[in-house]
Amino acid sequence: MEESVGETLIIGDLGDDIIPEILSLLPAKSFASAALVCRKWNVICNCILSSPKLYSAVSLNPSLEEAVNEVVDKVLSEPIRPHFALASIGPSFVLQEALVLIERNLCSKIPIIVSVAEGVIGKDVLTDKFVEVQWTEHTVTCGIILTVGFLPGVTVHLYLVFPEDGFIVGDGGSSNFIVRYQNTTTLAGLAGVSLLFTRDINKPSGVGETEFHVMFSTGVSLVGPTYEANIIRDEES
Amino acid sequence: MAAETGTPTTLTLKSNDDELFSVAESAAILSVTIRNMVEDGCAGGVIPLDNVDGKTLASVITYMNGISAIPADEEKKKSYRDKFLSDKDFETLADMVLAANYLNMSCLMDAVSAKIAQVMEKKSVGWVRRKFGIENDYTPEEEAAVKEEHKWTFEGVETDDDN
Repeated sequence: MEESVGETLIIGDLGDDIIPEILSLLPAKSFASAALVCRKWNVICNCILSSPKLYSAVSLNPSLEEAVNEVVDKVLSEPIRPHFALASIGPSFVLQEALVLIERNLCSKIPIIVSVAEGVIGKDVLTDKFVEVQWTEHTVTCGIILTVGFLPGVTVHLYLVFPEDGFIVGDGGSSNFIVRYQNTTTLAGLAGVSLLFTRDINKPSGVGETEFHVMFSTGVSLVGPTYEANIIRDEES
Repeated sequence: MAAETGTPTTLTLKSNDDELFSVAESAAILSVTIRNMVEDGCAGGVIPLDNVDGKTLASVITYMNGISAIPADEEKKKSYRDKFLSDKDFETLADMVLAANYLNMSCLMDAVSAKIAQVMEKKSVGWVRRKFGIENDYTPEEEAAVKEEHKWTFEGVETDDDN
């Protein structure tokens, strides 16, 4: 097992400045392996992830598999431990296929929501420039936007909500969606879906805190109905 | 002084294994540590660099000369850095990142850190521990728990070899 000492480099004294610098440059998967190296590196990794992160990417590649690989590589190119994934695809792609491809690259336990959208807006993986595509105006209806999020000290759950529950918010533009959560896939038409963020009581020490704030905005341009929150409850666990 | 006669000023650097190197001041001051010494007027004789060995210092000086010969063109500088680092093995890179940190050369430090991160990609945890000389201090239970948390990451990573 052990190799000759000559080959082993003792750079444990690489110092507290250099190791975090290097680890913060790793893509998400290598970054996660780095946490396994030793306790100290795990602490360093937790420090690097001490604030919430959201990464998203758009691909207009006509091949679903290539498009998914492109956006996954992009959103996982920096340190993150995805807590949830949201994707919207063009009408030419198939929800189930997109979900399988996305799930293959992410933890199967996290909530994944894939919907058919009327368009996508975001940063193109190839050009790194913002693109906006509305499918109704284009003949090409292939494309995907993937967003992954990480919130330190928070657990994310997924709930399906049905109209009879009486609190669906949304414009119905994405009436088709598919969700995967805790190894169960659900194709939903009439339901709504929500992500629930709860404080992780088992979170290891040294992990940051996430705060939520509620605001209303009508956005810079009004393209659809506006919404009001009927009720915002702040409950103790 | 050399500056008055119009020839470039040369500094003499000494590694921790007593090798001496001559380098143009204009190139050497890429190192903030050396620049501060020059500005404070303590670079007259030999500049001792106690944390850098001769082999690494020779490499760093090659980089100093190479990068300072390139005009202010970030693209060209970047491609020089990529080429300069492309054939360096992990041990050399580790020595260089320590030297760059000690010499306070942020451009070299960033480039070497990125290169080390690139080398670490797709390497097994065992490889990283060996190369960094790190002892696994997890208990088996802890290790299993952290592993479980990051299960999704292990696809596509080499099992446990050295390359």
